Amino acid sequence: MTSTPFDKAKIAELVPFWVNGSLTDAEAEALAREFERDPALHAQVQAARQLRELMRASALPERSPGDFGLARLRRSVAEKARAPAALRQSAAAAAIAAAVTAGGFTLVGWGSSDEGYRQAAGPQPAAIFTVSVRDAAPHAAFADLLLANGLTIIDGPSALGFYRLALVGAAADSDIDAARSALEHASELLELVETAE
Amino acid sequence: MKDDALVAVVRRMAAGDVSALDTLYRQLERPLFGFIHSKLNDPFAAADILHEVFLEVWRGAAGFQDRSRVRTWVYAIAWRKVVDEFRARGRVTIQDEMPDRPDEGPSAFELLQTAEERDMLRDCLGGLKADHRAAIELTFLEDMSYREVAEVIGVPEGTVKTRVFHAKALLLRCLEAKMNRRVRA
Repeated sequence: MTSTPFDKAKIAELVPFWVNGSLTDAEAEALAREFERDPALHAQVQAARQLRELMRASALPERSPGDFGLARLRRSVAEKARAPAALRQSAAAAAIAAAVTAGGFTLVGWGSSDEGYRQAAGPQPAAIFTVSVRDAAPHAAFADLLLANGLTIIDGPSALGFYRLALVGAAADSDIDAARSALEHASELLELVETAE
Repeated sequence: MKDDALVAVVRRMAAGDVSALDTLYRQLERPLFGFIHSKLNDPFAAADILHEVFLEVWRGAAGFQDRSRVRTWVYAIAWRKVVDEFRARGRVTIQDEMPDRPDEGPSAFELLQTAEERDMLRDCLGGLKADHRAAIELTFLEDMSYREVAEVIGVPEGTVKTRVFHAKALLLRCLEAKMNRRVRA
Protein backbone atom coordinates (compact mmCIF):
# COMPACT_ATOMS: atom_id res chain seq x y z
CA MET A 1 0.00 0.00 0.00
CA THR A 2 1.34 3.43 -0.87
CA SER A 3 0.76 6.48 1.23
CA THR A 4 0.98 10.18 0.62
CA PRO A 5 4.28 11.50 1.94
CA PHE A 6 4.00 13.87 4.86
CA ASP A 7 5.09 17.42 4.29
CA LYS A 8 7.90 18.79 6.42
CA ALA A 9 5.60 20.73 8.72
CA LYS A 10 3.51 17.67 9.47
CA ILE A 11 6.59 15.58 10.15
CA ALA A 12 7.94 18.22 12.51
CA GLU A 13 4.64 18.31 14.39
CA LEU A 14 4.50 14.55 14.78
CA VAL A 15 8.11 14.06 15.89
CA PRO A 16 7.45 14.85 19.59
CA PHE A 17 4.73 12.21 19.64
CA TRP A 18 6.99 9.74 17.86
CA VAL A 19 9.53 10.33 20.62
CA ASN A 20 7.02 9.78 23.42
CA GLY A 21 5.68 6.68 21.72
CA SER A 22 2.07 7.80 21.54
CA LEU A 23 1.45 7.72 17.78
CA THR A 24 -0.91 5.14 16.35
CA ASP A 25 0.71 2.25 14.52
CA ALA A 26 -0.33 3.72 11.18
CA GLU A 27 1.14 7.12 12.01
CA ALA A 28 4.34 5.60 13.32
CA GLU A 29 4.77 3.44 10.22
CA ALA A 30 4.19 6.41 7.94
CA LEU A 31 6.68 8.50 9.86
CA ALA A 32 9.25 5.70 9.82
CA ARG A 33 9.02 5.66 6.04
CA GLU A 34 9.72 9.40 6.04
CA PHE A 35 12.79 8.90 8.18
CA GLU A 36 14.06 6.27 5.74
CA ARG A 37 13.44 8.63 2.87
CA ASP A 38 15.26 11.55 4.50
CA PRO A 39 17.93 10.61 7.07
CA ALA A 40 18.35 14.30 7.89
CA LEU A 41 15.11 14.03 9.83
CA HIS A 42 16.94 12.04 12.47
CA ALA A 43 18.36 15.33 13.77
CA GLN A 44 14.82 16.44 14.61
CA VAL A 45 14.14 13.20 16.39
CA GLN A 46 17.38 13.50 18.32
CA ALA A 47 16.59 17.09 19.31
CA ALA A 48 13.12 16.17 20.53
CA ARG A 49 14.43 13.13 22.39
CA GLN A 50 17.10 15.22 24.13
CA LEU A 51 14.61 17.90 25.05
CA ARG A 52 12.26 15.30 26.51
CA GLU A 53 15.07 13.76 28.55
CA LEU A 54 16.23 17.15 29.74
CA MET A 55 12.73 18.19 30.76
CA ARG A 56 12.31 14.99 32.72
CA ALA A 57 15.70 15.46 34.36
CA SER A 58 14.93 19.10 35.13
CA ALA A 59 11.55 18.54 36.67
CA LEU A 60 11.99 19.59 40.26
CA PRO A 61 11.10 16.97 42.84
CA GLU A 62 8.27 19.07 44.23
CA ARG A 63 7.03 18.16 47.66
CA SER A 64 3.50 17.15 46.92
CA PRO A 65 0.82 17.13 49.65
CA GLY A 66 1.12 13.34 49.88
CA ASP A 67 -0.53 11.74 52.89
CA PHE A 68 -1.52 15.13 54.31
CA GLY A 69 -3.39 15.88 51.13
CA LEU A 70 -5.05 12.49 51.26
CA ALA A 71 -6.13 13.06 54.86
CA ARG A 72 -7.58 16.44 53.88
CA LEU A 73 -9.40 14.82 50.99
CA ARG A 74 -10.86 12.12 53.22
CA ARG A 75 -12.10 14.78 55.65
CA SER A 76 -13.79 16.70 52.87
CA VAL A 77 -15.44 13.60 51.48
CA ALA A 78 -16.63 12.61 54.95
CA GLU A 79 -17.99 16.12 55.58
CA LYS A 80 -19.93 16.04 52.35
CA ALA A 81 -21.30 12.63 53.25
CA ARG A 82 -22.42 13.97 56.61
CA ALA A 83 -24.14 16.98 55.10
CA PRO A 84 -27.23 15.03 53.93
CA ALA A 85 -27.47 13.49 57.39
CA ALA A 86 -27.45 16.95 58.90
CA LEU A 87 -30.23 17.93 56.55
CA ARG A 88 -32.12 14.82 57.54
CA GLN A 89 -31.69 15.81 61.14
CA SER A 90 -33.24 19.19 60.42
CA ALA A 91 -36.12 17.40 58.69
CA ALA A 92 -36.45 15.18 61.69
CA ALA A 93 -36.57 18.24 63.90
CA ALA A 94 -39.30 19.65 61.71
CA ALA A 95 -41.23 16.39 61.98
CA ILE A 96 -40.88 16.43 65.72
CA ALA A 97 -41.97 20.03 65.89
CA ALA A 98 -45.04 19.09 63.89
CA ALA A 99 -45.66 16.12 66.15
CA VAL A 100 -45.33 18.35 69.18
CA THR A 101 -47.94 20.66 67.78
CA ALA A 102 -50.29 17.88 66.82
CA GLY A 103 -49.84 15.51 69.72
CA GLY A 104 -49.15 17.63 72.74
CA PHE A 105 -45.59 16.40 73.30
CA THR A 106 -42.83 18.37 74.93
CA LEU A 107 -39.40 17.90 73.48
CA VAL A 108 -36.78 18.27 76.15
CA GLY A 109 -33.66 17.54 74.14
CA TRP A 110 -31.69 15.06 72.09
CA GLY A 111 -30.17 12.09 73.82
CA SER A 112 -28.89 8.68 73.08
CA SER A 113 -31.99 6.94 74.33
CA ASP A 114 -35.68 7.37 74.92
CA GLU A 115 -34.83 9.56 77.88
CA GLY A 116 -34.08 12.33 75.44
CA TYR A 117 -37.66 13.46 75.64
CA ARG A 118 -40.71 12.93 77.74
CA GLN A 119 -44.31 13.32 77.03
CA ALA A 120 -46.15 16.10 78.77
CA ALA A 121 -49.05 13.72 79.11
CA GLY A 122 -49.63 10.08 78.38
CA PRO A 123 -47.42 7.01 78.44
CA GLN A 124 -43.93 6.45 77.03
CA PRO A 125 -43.65 5.46 73.37
CA ALA A 126 -45.51 2.29 72.59
CA ALA A 127 -43.25 0.89 69.90
CA ILE A 128 -39.90 1.62 68.45
CA PHE A 129 -38.60 1.13 64.96
CA THR A 130 -35.14 1.72 63.61
CA VAL A 131 -34.92 3.12 60.10
CA SER A 132 -32.31 4.61 57.81
CA VAL A 133 -33.34 7.22 55.28
CA ARG A 134 -32.06 7.20 51.71
CA ASP A 135 -29.74 10.10 50.85
CA ALA A 136 -31.97 11.20 48.00
CA ALA A 137 -35.18 11.00 50.01
CA PRO A 138 -37.03 14.34 50.21
CA HIS A 139 -37.03 15.57 53.75
CA ALA A 140 -40.64 16.68 53.58
CA ALA A 141 -41.71 13.21 52.43
CA PHE A 142 -39.98 11.64 55.44
CA ALA A 143 -41.71 14.07 57.78
CA ASP A 144 -45.05 13.39 56.10
CA LEU A 145 -44.55 9.65 56.49
CA LEU A 146 -43.98 10.03 60.21
CA LEU A 147 -46.94 12.32 60.75
CA ALA A 148 -49.30 10.22 58.70
CA ASN A 149 -48.52 7.17 60.80
CA GLY A 150 -48.37 8.74 64.21
CA LEU A 151 -44.63 8.29 64.45
CA THR A 152 -42.05 10.52 65.99
CA ILE A 153 -38.29 10.44 66.14
CA ILE A 154 -36.94 9.68 69.57
CA ASP A 155 -33.26 9.36 68.66
CA GLY A 156 -30.91 9.89 65.77
CA PRO A 157 -29.49 10.12 63.35
CA SER A 158 -26.72 7.92 64.68
CA ALA A 159 -23.23 7.92 63.26
CA LEU A 160 -24.49 5.37 60.76
CA GLY A 161 -27.54 7.42 59.92
CA PHE A 162 -30.16 5.43 61.82
CA TYR A 163 -33.25 6.96 63.44
CA ARG A 164 -35.31 5.41 66.21
CA LEU A 165 -39.01 6.02 65.89
CA ALA A 166 -41.86 5.63 68.32
CA LEU A 167 -45.59 5.65 67.97
CA VAL A 168 -47.20 8.67 69.49
CA GLY A 169 -49.28 7.89 72.54
CA ALA A 170 -50.71 4.56 73.59
CA ALA A 171 -50.95 2.22 70.64
CA ALA A 172 -52.73 -1.00 69.99
CA ASP A 173 -50.99 -3.90 68.29
CA SER A 174 -52.91 -3.08 65.17
CA ASP A 175 -51.44 0.44 65.21
CA ILE A 176 -47.93 -0.97 65.48
CA ASP A 177 -48.54 -3.37 62.62
CA ALA A 178 -49.97 -0.59 60.49
CA ALA A 179 -46.99 1.68 61.21
CA ARG A 180 -44.53 -1.12 60.43
CA SER A 181 -46.32 -1.86 57.20
CA ALA A 182 -46.29 1.81 56.20
CA LEU A 183 -42.57 2.06 56.87
CA GLU A 184 -41.80 -1.13 54.98
CA HIS A 185 -43.78 0.08 52.00
CA ALA A 186 -41.91 3.39 51.94
CA SER A 187 -38.86 1.77 50.34
CA GLU A 188 -38.35 4.80 48.12
CA LEU A 189 -37.58 6.78 51.29
CA LEU A 190 -36.16 4.19 53.67
CA GLU A 191 -33.29 1.79 53.18
CA LEU A 192 -33.90 -0.22 56.30
CA VAL A 193 -36.79 -0.79 58.69
CA GLU A 194 -36.42 -2.87 61.81
CA THR A 195 -38.55 -3.31 64.86
CA ALA A 196 -36.39 -2.52 67.86
CA GLU A 197 -36.68 -4.75 70.88
CA MET B 1 -1.37 1.17 36.94
CA LYS B 2 -2.84 0.75 33.46
CA ASP B 3 -5.88 2.67 32.40
CA ASP B 4 -8.13 -0.38 32.49
CA ALA B 5 -7.29 -0.77 36.14
CA LEU B 6 -7.90 2.94 36.73
CA VAL B 7 -11.31 2.62 35.08
CA ALA B 8 -12.14 -0.12 37.57
CA VAL B 9 -11.01 2.18 40.38
CA VAL B 10 -13.30 4.95 39.13
CA ARG B 11 -16.19 2.49 38.93
CA ARG B 12 -15.62 1.63 42.59
CA MET B 13 -15.57 5.32 43.43
CA ALA B 14 -18.88 5.74 41.62
CA ALA B 15 -20.28 3.09 43.95
CA GLY B 16 -19.14 5.13 46.95
CA ASP B 17 -15.98 3.17 47.76
CA VAL B 18 -13.76 5.73 49.49
CA SER B 19 -10.80 3.34 49.45
CA ALA B 20 -10.88 3.58 45.65
CA LEU B 21 -10.38 7.33 45.95
CA ASP B 22 -7.29 6.58 48.04
CA THR B 23 -6.02 4.32 45.27
CA LEU B 24 -6.55 6.90 42.56
CA TYR B 25 -4.97 9.61 44.70
CA ARG B 26 -1.86 7.53 45.28
CA GLN B 27 -1.59 6.79 41.57
CA LEU B 28 -1.99 10.33 40.25
CA GLU B 29 -1.24 12.74 43.07
CA ARG B 30 2.46 13.35 42.46
CA PRO B 31 2.45 13.85 38.69
CA LEU B 32 -0.77 15.83 38.89
CA PHE B 33 0.65 18.08 41.58
CA GLY B 34 3.77 18.59 39.46
CA PHE B 35 1.61 19.52 36.49
CA ILE B 36 -0.45 22.02 38.48
CA HIS B 37 2.51 23.45 40.37
CA SER B 38 4.52 23.99 37.22
CA LYS B 39 1.75 26.23 35.90
CA LEU B 40 1.19 28.26 39.06
CA ASN B 41 4.59 28.23 40.74
CA ASP B 42 2.73 28.40 44.04
CA PRO B 43 2.78 25.19 46.07
CA PHE B 44 -0.09 26.25 48.34
CA ALA B 45 -2.40 27.17 45.50
CA ALA B 46 -1.32 24.01 43.69
CA ALA B 47 -2.19 21.90 46.73
CA ASP B 48 -5.61 23.55 46.95
CA ILE B 49 -6.29 22.91 43.30
CA LEU B 50 -5.10 19.34 43.62
CA HIS B 51 -7.59 18.90 46.45
CA GLU B 52 -10.41 20.38 44.39
CA VAL B 53 -9.52 18.16 41.45
CA PHE B 54 -9.81 14.99 43.49
CA LEU B 55 -13.04 16.17 45.08
CA GLU B 56 -14.48 16.82 41.64
CA VAL B 57 -13.26 13.43 40.48
CA TRP B 58 -14.98 11.84 43.47
CA ARG B 59 -18.23 13.67 42.83
CA GLY B 60 -18.08 13.04 39.09
CA ALA B 61 -17.04 9.38 39.16
CA ALA B 62 -20.56 8.19 38.38
CA GLY B 63 -20.57 10.30 35.25
CA PHE B 64 -17.20 9.13 33.94
CA GLN B 65 -17.47 7.96 30.36
CA ASP B 66 -15.28 5.26 28.88
CA ARG B 67 -14.72 7.51 25.92
CA SER B 68 -11.86 9.11 27.85
CA ARG B 69 -8.91 7.59 29.60
CA VAL B 70 -9.03 8.18 33.34
CA ARG B 71 -5.75 10.08 33.34
CA THR B 72 -6.92 12.34 30.53
CA TRP B 73 -10.19 13.02 32.33
CA VAL B 74 -8.44 13.91 35.59
CA TYR B 75 -5.84 16.12 33.91
CA ALA B 76 -8.58 17.91 32.00
CA ILE B 77 -10.27 18.79 35.28
CA ALA B 78 -6.93 20.02 36.62
CA TRP B 79 -6.25 22.12 33.56
CA ARG B 80 -9.67 23.80 33.77
CA LYS B 81 -9.01 24.68 37.38
CA VAL B 82 -5.57 26.04 36.54
CA VAL B 83 -7.11 28.24 33.85
CA ASP B 84 -9.73 29.43 36.34
CA GLU B 85 -6.91 30.28 38.73
CA PHE B 86 -5.10 32.22 36.02
CA ARG B 87 -8.25 34.18 35.38
CA ALA B 88 -8.78 34.83 39.06
CA ARG B 89 -5.26 36.21 39.23
CA GLY B 90 -5.77 38.26 36.11
CA ARG B 91 -3.14 36.24 34.35
CA VAL B 92 -4.95 35.40 31.18
CA THR B 93 -2.32 34.14 28.80
CA ILE B 94 -4.35 31.42 27.20
CA GLN B 95 -4.13 32.44 23.59
CA ASP B 96 -4.23 30.66 20.29
CA GLU B 97 -1.98 32.98 18.36
CA MET B 98 1.34 31.47 17.40
CA PRO B 99 4.75 33.04 16.93
CA ASP B 100 6.60 32.68 13.65
CA ARG B 101 8.19 29.30 13.27
CA PRO B 102 11.79 29.60 14.39
CA ASP B 103 14.54 27.34 13.12
CA GLU B 104 15.43 24.51 15.42
CA GLY B 105 18.39 22.28 15.89
CA PRO B 106 20.03 20.04 18.39
CA SER B 107 23.04 22.25 19.05
CA ALA B 108 21.59 23.75 22.21
CA PHE B 109 21.82 20.40 23.94
CA GLU B 110 25.49 19.87 23.47
CA LEU B 111 26.35 21.77 26.63
CA LEU B 112 23.26 20.93 28.66
CA GLN B 113 24.81 18.67 31.20
CA THR B 114 25.00 20.54 34.46
CA ALA B 115 22.54 21.60 37.10
CA GLU B 116 23.05 25.17 36.00
CA GLU B 117 21.96 24.25 32.54
CA ARG B 118 18.92 22.49 33.83
CA ASP B 119 18.11 25.72 35.66
CA MET B 120 18.30 27.41 32.29
CA LEU B 121 15.72 25.05 30.93
CA ARG B 122 13.44 25.77 33.86
CA ASP B 123 13.83 29.48 33.19
CA CYS B 124 12.98 28.91 29.57
CA LEU B 125 9.95 26.83 30.46
CA GLY B 126 8.84 29.63 32.76
CA GLY B 127 8.96 32.00 29.84
CA LEU B 128 6.52 29.99 27.76
CA LYS B 129 2.87 30.91 27.63
CA ALA B 130 0.81 28.64 29.82
CA ASP B 131 -0.91 26.92 26.92
CA HIS B 132 2.39 26.15 25.19
CA ARG B 133 3.93 24.93 28.40
CA ALA B 134 0.99 22.71 29.22
CA ALA B 135 1.09 21.16 25.78
CA ILE B 136 4.78 20.31 25.84
CA GLU B 137 4.76 19.14 29.46
CA LEU B 138 1.83 16.82 28.88
CA THR B 139 3.68 15.52 25.82
CA PHE B 140 7.13 15.04 27.32
CA LEU B 141 6.49 14.59 31.02
CA GLU B 142 3.21 12.67 30.86
CA ASP B 143 3.81 11.07 27.45
CA MET B 144 0.28 11.81 26.32
CA SER B 145 -0.75 11.52 22.69
CA TYR B 146 -1.79 14.69 20.89
CA ARG B 147 -5.37 13.43 21.05
CA GLU B 148 -5.16 13.16 24.83
CA VAL B 149 -3.48 16.55 25.16
CA ALA B 150 -6.25 18.03 23.03
CA GLU B 151 -8.85 16.53 25.33
CA VAL B 152 -7.09 17.81 28.44
CA ILE B 153 -6.59 21.35 27.19
CA GLY B 154 -9.82 21.49 25.25
CA VAL B 155 -8.43 22.54 21.87
CA PRO B 156 -8.33 20.83 18.46
CA GLU B 157 -5.67 18.20 17.85
CA GLY B 158 -4.03 20.33 15.17
CA THR B 159 -3.64 23.15 17.68
CA VAL B 160 -1.91 20.80 20.10
CA LYS B 161 0.58 19.66 17.48
CA THR B 162 1.33 23.24 16.53
CA ARG B 163 1.70 24.32 20.15
CA VAL B 164 4.08 21.50 20.95
CA PHE B 165 6.11 22.28 17.86
CA HIS B 166 6.37 25.94 18.79
CA ALA B 167 7.04 25.25 22.44
CA LYS B 168 9.88 22.95 21.48
CA ALA B 169 11.32 25.47 19.07
CA LEU B 170 10.99 28.33 21.55
CA LEU B 171 12.73 26.29 24.24
CA LEU B 172 15.61 25.52 21.91
CA ARG B 173 15.93 29.14 20.93
CA CYS B 174 15.83 30.26 24.56
CA LEU B 175 18.44 27.72 25.57
CA GLU B 176 20.77 28.70 22.78
CA ALA B 177 20.47 32.35 23.74
CA LYS B 178 21.29 31.57 27.36
CA MET B 179 24.22 29.41 26.31
CA ASN B 180 25.59 32.13 24.09
CA ARG B 181 25.32 34.71 26.86
CA ARG B 182 27.15 32.41 29.21
CA VAL B 183 29.94 31.76 26.68
CA ARG B 184 30.38 35.50 26.08
CA ALA B 185 30.42 36.29 29.79
